[in-house]
Parts: sequence; structure tokens; C-alpha cells
Amino acid sequence: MISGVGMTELSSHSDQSELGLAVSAVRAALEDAELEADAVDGFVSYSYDRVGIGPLQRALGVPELRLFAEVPYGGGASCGTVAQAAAAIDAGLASCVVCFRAMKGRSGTRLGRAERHLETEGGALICRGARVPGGVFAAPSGLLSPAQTMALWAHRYAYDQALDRDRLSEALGAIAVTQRAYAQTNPRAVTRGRPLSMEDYLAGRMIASPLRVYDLCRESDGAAAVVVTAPRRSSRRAARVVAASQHLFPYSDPLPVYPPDITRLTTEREVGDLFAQARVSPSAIDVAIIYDATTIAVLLTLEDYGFCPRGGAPEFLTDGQHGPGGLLPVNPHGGLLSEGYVHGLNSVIEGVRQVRDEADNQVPGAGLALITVRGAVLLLGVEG
Amino acid sequence: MTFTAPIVPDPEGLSAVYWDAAQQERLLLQRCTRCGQAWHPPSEFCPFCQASEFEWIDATGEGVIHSYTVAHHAAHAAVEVWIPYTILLVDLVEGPRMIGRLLDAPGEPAIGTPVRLRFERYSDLKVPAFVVHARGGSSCTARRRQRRRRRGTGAPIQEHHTRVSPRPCPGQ
Repeated sequence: MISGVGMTELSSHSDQSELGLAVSAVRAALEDAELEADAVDGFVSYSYDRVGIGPLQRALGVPELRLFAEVPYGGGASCGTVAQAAAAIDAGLASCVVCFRAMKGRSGTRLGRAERHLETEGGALICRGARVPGGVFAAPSGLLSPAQTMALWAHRYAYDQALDRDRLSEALGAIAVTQRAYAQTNPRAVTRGRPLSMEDYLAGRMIASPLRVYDLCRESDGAAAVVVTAPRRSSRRAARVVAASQHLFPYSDPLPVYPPDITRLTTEREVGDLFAQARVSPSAIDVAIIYDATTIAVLLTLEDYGFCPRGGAPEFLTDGQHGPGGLLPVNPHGGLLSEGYVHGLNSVIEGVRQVRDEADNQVPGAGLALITVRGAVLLLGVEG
Repeated sequence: MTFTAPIVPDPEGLSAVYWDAAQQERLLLQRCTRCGQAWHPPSEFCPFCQASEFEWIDATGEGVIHSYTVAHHAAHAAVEVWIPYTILLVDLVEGPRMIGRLLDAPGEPAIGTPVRLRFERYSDLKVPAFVVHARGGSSCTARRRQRRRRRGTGAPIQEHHTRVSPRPCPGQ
């Protein structure tokens, strides 16, 4: 179960180091769990994280670690770290595992830009490796950012569903506008005080067609941490991990462009296994937290998980079914688009808050939350 | 047109074989000698049947647009000179999918449009890219390939090239 969560302030420029941010978030999560640092015996971090587990252990005063692991492939580690921690606890490898992500994602290395993929050598700009975007089969052709890669998904989706550009923009805009509205009542959101209308959305600068600036998440400085423990460790109300899994299919690491169908971020088998493991159907989900590096990922995920029929997401979205009072509220914290971007771990925390009935935009009676990202998924329920 | 390439690949292993051939304006694909399927990007193992026996084949360079985006924002200063530019995913007639720029058609292309390989030539680097396929036309690359076919199998493939000659780039 998840017994505690913690986050730092999200900003465009933090004065703290990444280690300092990590320490603040983990301390907040341990306090939330009513645990001391000496209770921790495991860390699971993102492979992308620049904070080492060893330095974090020393900074927090954790006497002994029995589990330490990293989860690869970017944002998939948001749910992926928690899935690993829960599995390790079930297997008896550890009893209190902290998942964390700390990043200076706006003032430091920006994941939305290409500098991280390229090196300057002898006056030339060099790319290496085969990753997409940024590797030797992508960067020389100018495929340099996740947004450009996801734009390829969006155009293919529109083609497959015979959706014209205006309808596609309305659907994607409905995600951006609704999530920005949610963020106006979230005190942590970096976009609080800056609401967005559909007119604003449509007037937004085109970044990589069909994606506009408002289709992209808000790079941020900040850290988040989640404490996973065995049941009944905490005296506080906790979130129960009903089901958790990681998932990789050929060429889905990290952003699919080579699989036959680039409009599916998971497989039917993965989704079927998840709902079978949890013994529920998609209609039992009260709130969905969907990894929204860009809006198109939300649209595709709604169909992947059976919340809409194939091709049905645009209508679902333009009807506002993802908004307050809709069939399935999605990202009520504002998501990575509007709360800010701690590589998705902040969204995992929103899922925990929802089932603990303490979210800023609480979905009434949220007993079951789906938290999903390309590469991993969590189903959280109310403890007890 | 001659540019200095903004971003130079530094490939390893089989990727270096691919890039060396590209400098001879050849687009190489691997084809499994067990199951017969072709693949890209390069890999030691067939992604279809996992065999490790393969041969390199010259792609025809013909394909159709699987998807695209027009980049209006430079994700790195080095590509500002290109803005706006079109990135394609192309399904080659041999089966594999690859990434390349669309060179000759400004604006938004249509998915499903036939395209043909044309190497983008910088002063010291050639990068596989595409042009919209004009029926009945014959690109320079296609003519060159035909000449090479008449001569034989083309230049031998270098196995141990480590770097595609980097040069200073203006975007720095």
C-alpha cells in the first residue's frame, strides 16, 4: 500500500539542488506516512534521475537498504517505480520502499529539448545511440523532441479515424482547456491564475503540428516521493495498490514510432490482464490519472483502456466527459499539462490523494483510481 | 543545395554500416536469411524470428507516408535554419518503417502519399530523406542506383567506420 506522499513546490527555477529537492520530497512523504528515515529499507528511482541512491541514503540517514533499483524509459517509471516497490514488498525483499523523482526540469536539463541527446565534439554536434527521439536514426532528420514524436501519433490517429484537423484540435483542446481549469483550484499548479479558453488554445503557437504549445506539459523544477509499505504499517489512511504492472512491447521503448500501430500505447492483453487482476471493469474506475506529456497521449489512453470505443475519444472529450461531473474525470490536478512536470510522479500522488479523499479537486466518492503511463499502470483503491 | 549538417551521427556497429552506405547514397536494410523479413533500425537479431543470420539489401527507396509532423519550433538551435520542416515516418515497400525529412513539399503532406528516397546532401554528410513520388519521374538517386545495378552490386560496405566525418556546424 501507499502510506505517504510528498512533493516540493513546483517552479520554473528552484534554488535547491536536485539532491536537496529529493531530500525535501522524501522527508515530506515520510512525515505523511508518520515514519522516520530509519524505517526506509528500499529506494526505487528513475534511470533518468541524476540523484544517486547512495547520496540520498546518506543525506536522509537511512541506515540500511535492502532494495535499490532504477526503472528505465522515462515517464514509464512514474507508475513503474511504484509497481516495482509493491512487488518487492509482496516478495519480502523490503518493507518500506521510497520511490522518488527529483529534477530541475525547467532550469536544468529540459526533457522537451534536444540538448540532452547531443554532444559537441570538434566543433560538430554529434548524436549517438538509436533512441527516438534524438538518436542516430532520428536526430539527423530533425526528430529531436518527445512532442514531435507524439505529433506523429496524433496525425496517424486522425488519419485512421478520418478525423479532420478541426475535430482533432477540438478534442486535444478540450483536454488542455479542462485540465487548465482544474489547475486553477490546485495551489501547487504552476499555471494557477492563468486560465485557458478554447480560443486561447487555438491561437496557441504551433510547436509540432498538430500539437500547439498548450498541448505540451509544463517543464518544472521539483521533486516528488511516494512511500510504499506492507499493509497496516501506517496509522493514517493509505491507498491500497489494487493492481500494478509494468509493460513493454517491441519498439515501445521509450516512444513508439516503429510498431505497426503507433496509436496504441499499450496492448489489449495488458489492459485485459490489469482488469482481470483487479476483478473490475473499466466502468468501475472513478477517476483516471493519465500521463500527459502531451494531450494526444490522454486521447489514445482513453481508448486503450476501453473508456471509449476505438475512435470514440474525440466525442467523449468534446462532450466534456473528462471534466467535473463527467463520466470519467481525468487528471483533476491539472495533469502534467497544467500542474507541472515531475516526470509523472506528481500525477501518481494525485491518484493517492483522490482515493484518500483529500484532493483539491476531489472526485466525489473516488474509490478506485487508474493511474497510467506508457509502460506501466496502477490501480489504487481505498485502504481497509 | 549544400549545407553543413547540423547534427552528425556517430554510429556504432551495424548502425555504422548503415551510415557508411548512406554516404554512398545507398539505403541499406537488413533482411533475415531465415524468415525473409527485412528490418530497420539495424539490429543483430531479426525482430520477427530472432535469427542472427541476415544479409544487407539495398532498399528501393520507395514508400508511403505513415505519419508526419511539421516542426514549427526548433528543439535545438542547430535546426533553426530548417524551421518549418517536415518529419516523416515512411513505410518502405520492403516493410520497414524509417524516419526522414520531406524535402520538396512545403506545408502539410497527406498520409498515404507515395514518397521516394532522396539523399539530403550537406558538404560532408548525406542523410536519407524523401521527396513526394512523381509518377513516371526518375530521381537522380534512382538513376544512380540503376547505373550501379548495371555495373554490379555497388561499392563494398565498410565494416569498421566509427564516425561520419564531423564538421563545425553553424548552429553552435
